[in-house]
Amino acid sequence: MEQIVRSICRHLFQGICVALIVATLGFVAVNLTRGDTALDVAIARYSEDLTDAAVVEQIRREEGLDRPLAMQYFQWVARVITFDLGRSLVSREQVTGLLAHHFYYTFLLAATATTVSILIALPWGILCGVYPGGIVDTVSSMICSALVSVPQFVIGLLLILSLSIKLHWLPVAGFFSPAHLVIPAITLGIGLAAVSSRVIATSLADVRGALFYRFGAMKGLSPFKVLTAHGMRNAAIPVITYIGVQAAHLLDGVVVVETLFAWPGIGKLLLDSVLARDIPVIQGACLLIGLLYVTVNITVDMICFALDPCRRNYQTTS
Amino acid sequence: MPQKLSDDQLEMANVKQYERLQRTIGLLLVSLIILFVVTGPWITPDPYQQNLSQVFAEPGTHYLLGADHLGRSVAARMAEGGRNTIYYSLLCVVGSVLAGVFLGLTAAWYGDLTDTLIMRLVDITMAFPGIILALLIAGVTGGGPMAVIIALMFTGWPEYCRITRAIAMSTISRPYVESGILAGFSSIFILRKYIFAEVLPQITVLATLGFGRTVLNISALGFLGIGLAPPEPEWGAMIAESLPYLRESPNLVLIPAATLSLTVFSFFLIANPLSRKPRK
Repeated sequence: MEQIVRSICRHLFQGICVALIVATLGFVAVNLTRGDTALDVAIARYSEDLTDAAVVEQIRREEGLDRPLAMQYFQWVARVITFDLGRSLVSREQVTGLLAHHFYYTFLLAATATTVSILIALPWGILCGVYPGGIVDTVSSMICSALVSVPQFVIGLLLILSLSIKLHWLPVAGFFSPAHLVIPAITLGIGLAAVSSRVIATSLADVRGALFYRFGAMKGLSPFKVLTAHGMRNAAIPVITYIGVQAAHLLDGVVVVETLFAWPGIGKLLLDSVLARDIPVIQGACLLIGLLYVTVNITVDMICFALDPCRRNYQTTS
Repeated sequence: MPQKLSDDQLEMANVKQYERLQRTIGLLLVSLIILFVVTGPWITPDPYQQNLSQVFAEPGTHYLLGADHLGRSVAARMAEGGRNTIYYSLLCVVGSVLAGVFLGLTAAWYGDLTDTLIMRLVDITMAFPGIILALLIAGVTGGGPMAVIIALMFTGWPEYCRITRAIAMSTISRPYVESGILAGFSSIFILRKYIFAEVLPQITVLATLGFGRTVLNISALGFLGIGLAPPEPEWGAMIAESLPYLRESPNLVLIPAATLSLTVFSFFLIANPLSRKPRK
């Protein structure tokens, strides 16, 4: 019990630090870097031709950019704690609303990608794990090494090139119909599937070597029955633990894939605001992604705890 | 006397041979790529020279690998871009390994409060997915190669730190380290001769893996438009640049994409990440 509490406390600590770091880093960045934020905002909002000194001054006053630094900082942190993330410097929209809107699309993409990756990885991994060292295992291990070394945007490009441009089966980019979801989801899912199929394979191979598994076969259960009754649940633990690590991969991939496919999710929002130096939105998006990551890890911890009573005695290192 | 090998020993020998083959292929590929990238300036034309009569030239006609939308030699830009990508990745990896090993050794040697502080720092840094933190840092500081390098170093060091600390901790409890302390050797000497020697092999493997991953991250950031400013070439940025012409001349995208994947693949072959069990 103590292990799980400690692990959750560690993740909660991470969550608090995420909030503080994002707030501080964004704040320091906006005030220490060269360049006048008010000027940037004015240009982004009104285009370069329509920007003059008066407009810049007005924006400076409106956005509170002329107050003392310490005051601006504490105001921001206080607002973060109350979940009021302010308004976008560019579009003047509420950051919270902006995030909620884009989050829907990211969630859709990430959920579909995860489903795709499970659909690929589960049969693939089991096939490899049942005959470890066999021909299927060796070949797919090579395929997986190749797959993890191809950048996600390259996988996406190859899919666009083959499925959209050559075969005209699917639309290239955008978000208007479910068909638009297919290529981005496969792009994200394939890299995840490559890694998790290996994790499934090794963990299943481990379980199959265990005494209780061999005893199951010895007492006369059919190979299929042993696999489902003794194999799956035990093999699932490392696989689920690995989801926490994969979440990082998924969230990184989301930025790249959303940009490539013009998918209007958090990643695209983050990149656009980075390029426009829209600090409130950058902070909001990073905060959301950081907290999401921490939440996934806490959930993974709890699932593993529920699945594996031995955890209470084991040293957990995840 | 010739001894009959058991099945297990034979299998081990096979696996070893297979791994050695992988490593050789990986090293060969890496040396080829490095050779191409380093000798680039002598064997290819000027990567910035625009030749508008050669826009979208097919490979093998006027230029070896064709020309891009501004009529610049793709081969030259590949060499120049590869030099940038590899050079920046090297900086990142060396930086994060140095920081990680130093902090890991410090944490293990001093223990107690120092250890707790450093490990909390690791926790904090690991609370962000890599590219997100890089975007946050690179983005708010206005981009540029320095911002990208610092950001990737910042996300890279915790892994080396954790492994170094774990290995150092198990080494410190060995009798020979204790006898070294009793013999009155200085901490620096013990850390260097006894502990670092244990850490080094593991870190080398991890750093090779990390190098592959850093190349991926740098090109992903280049693709996103953060990092080197155009016209300075970089593999990821080259792909992004040629994206609008994907339909007409897919070569422009496929050449950097293939080279990039091959580079990462050969580093993974050397370090062989998937043959090892994933950390639980």
